[in-house]
Amino acid sequence: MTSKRTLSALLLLAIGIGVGPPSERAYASLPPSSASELAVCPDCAISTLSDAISAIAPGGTIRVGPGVYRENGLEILKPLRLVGDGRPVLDGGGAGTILRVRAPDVEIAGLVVENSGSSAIEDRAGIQVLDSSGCRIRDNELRDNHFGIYLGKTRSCVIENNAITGSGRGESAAGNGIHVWYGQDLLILGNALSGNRDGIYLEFVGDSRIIRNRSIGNFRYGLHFMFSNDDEYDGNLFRGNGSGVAVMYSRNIRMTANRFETSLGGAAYGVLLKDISASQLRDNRFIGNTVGAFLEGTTRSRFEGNTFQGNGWALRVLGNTDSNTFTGNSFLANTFDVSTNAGTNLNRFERNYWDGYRGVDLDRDGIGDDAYRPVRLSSLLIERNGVASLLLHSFFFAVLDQAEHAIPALTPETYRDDAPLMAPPPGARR
Amino acid sequence: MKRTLQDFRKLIRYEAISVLRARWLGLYGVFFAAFTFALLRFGNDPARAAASLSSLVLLVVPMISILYASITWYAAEPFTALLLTQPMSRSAVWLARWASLSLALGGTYLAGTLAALAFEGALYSGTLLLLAVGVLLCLSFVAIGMAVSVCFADRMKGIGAAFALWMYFALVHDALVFAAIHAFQDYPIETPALVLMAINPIDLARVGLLLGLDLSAMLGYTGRILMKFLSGGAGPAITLGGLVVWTTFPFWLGLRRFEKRDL
Repeated sequence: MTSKRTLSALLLLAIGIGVGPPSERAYASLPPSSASELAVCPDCAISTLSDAISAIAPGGTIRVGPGVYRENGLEILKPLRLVGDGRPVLDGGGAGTILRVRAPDVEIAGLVVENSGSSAIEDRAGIQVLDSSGCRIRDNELRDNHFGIYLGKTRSCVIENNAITGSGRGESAAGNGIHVWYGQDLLILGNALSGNRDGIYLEFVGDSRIIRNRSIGNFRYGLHFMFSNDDEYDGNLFRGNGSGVAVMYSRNIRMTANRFETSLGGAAYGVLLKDISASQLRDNRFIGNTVGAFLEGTTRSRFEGNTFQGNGWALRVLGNTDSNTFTGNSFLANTFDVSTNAGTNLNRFERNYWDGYRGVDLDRDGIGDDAYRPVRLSSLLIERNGVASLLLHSFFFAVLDQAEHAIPALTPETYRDDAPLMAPPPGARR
Repeated sequence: MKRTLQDFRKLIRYEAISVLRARWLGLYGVFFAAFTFALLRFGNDPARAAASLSSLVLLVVPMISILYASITWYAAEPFTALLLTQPMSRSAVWLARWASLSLALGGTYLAGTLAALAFEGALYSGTLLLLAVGVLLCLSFVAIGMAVSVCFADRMKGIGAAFALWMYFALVHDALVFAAIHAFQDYPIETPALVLMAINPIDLARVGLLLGLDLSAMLGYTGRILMKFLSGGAGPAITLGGLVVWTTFPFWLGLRRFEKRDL
């Protein structure tokens, strides 16, 4: 009986220690520190970041001078600013996460953080921020880390002007440039991302903005949403990624004025929309992709003022996609405008400019008098059997398309724009 | 061999002059220049213009080349007969005829298109490939046209056969390929389909142009398979090499027939 009571008391104690905000726990175990500003450099009194971090008072500033610091597993457990001067290099030596933040209001700026190494067991990162808020990570350079910047359960953070280059070891070996798992109210602004698996990966992230980043040459996606709602990305450039952006299992995502360029390959899309709803794509440009936009299970979304230029397929719309509106978009010099695997169309196409439109506008109101049918027979035939793409641009396909155009028999009758524009809307540049 | 060359040198001058004297050859060049110019100037996208231009080249160049070669062959038949009464090697006569026709048709096409492309500042790797493919198609179809004509003594039959052969390469072959692709869609037919492309000079030219001009769509479903065969510069190289074979083979077949034929 006694032993049992002791045991449960011990258990309670253990739980008690475990509970409580992590930062409070951390403060208790730290030695008292007073300095509100410290300088670190290889020849200074304080020559390592770990000494500086334990010596600094909460809310203080550490100035890191130029040089190489071979440290890793640094834990920041109180609010502070860590500011590099002259691009000091923090080399993790491949031994694990280099900088880990578990405190609110931490700023990390001007550092070069490199070589976290990678592991199949733990998520290693250049800079990792866990269970905190108000962090600001700006103007850093992250090289050869598994994950560049990893945010877990964070809110109200700003990730700004970082250059993140992955290890470049391919899709399965590389980590993501900026990886967020549970986040709220984040701003990801002006970062440059390349050679990662995904440039930016967001899972369970809401009310966040991703603005003016350049995501180029990442193995899988330039930007990847999973189970993330109510977010916005605006003015980003996605070029030469496996696919530009993938938005999956999400709703209310606003996508504005982005450029999706040259995603080429068997399953390469400018934007890949899978099981998303109530979203908007406005004023984006899709240029030279194998498929501009791929829609699967996409519902109640609006596509307005986008330009699709020089893609193999501007739009690939699967049959489980419905109640979307396409209006004011320009389709220029795409091999195919729309392809679909469905026999009927449950989306609305209206007032788009299609450069393949051959109709006339007798009343001169800027809207063609006949409907435009964007699904060509040859695209349907290639959809059914990919090898037929060897016959692209053949006279045979031209004859088939003309015949089908005259007497539609196989292409879905309901796929049409009843009010095609005679000229591209003003926003669409050529 | 040496005598053949000497004969050829003598012949080519007169052959070329007589072929180049045809007035509508100029029209042919002007047609390409005008069409290219209009596409580039009034089309709204250079890539689209290049695609339209390649469709036109794939259709018109083989047709004109094969028909012109055939018609010229029959028109010049009395002259050929006269030539052969001289101590003249038949291969020299054959070669001179082919070379002069190729020079005339290929040169006119090249000059017309090149002038318009240069004028519009649209010379880049894609359009240069188009120029090269157009010229090779011309060389090939001139040889095919002559080879067909030499097999038929009757003029109408010969020209008809040339036209039918063009029709086959331009349209019927692709329809048959499509039927085959459709019939065997449950099997891995990528490689056989590529072989079927190679046995038609127009398809060969078209696939080469696709790789040069319309990469994004080609990289779709069959992309990986195609790229395995045609990655890097291999695609255009195979196309150009294939067209050379498609020139020399009919040239040689026709020559063999010409040498044996009682004319």
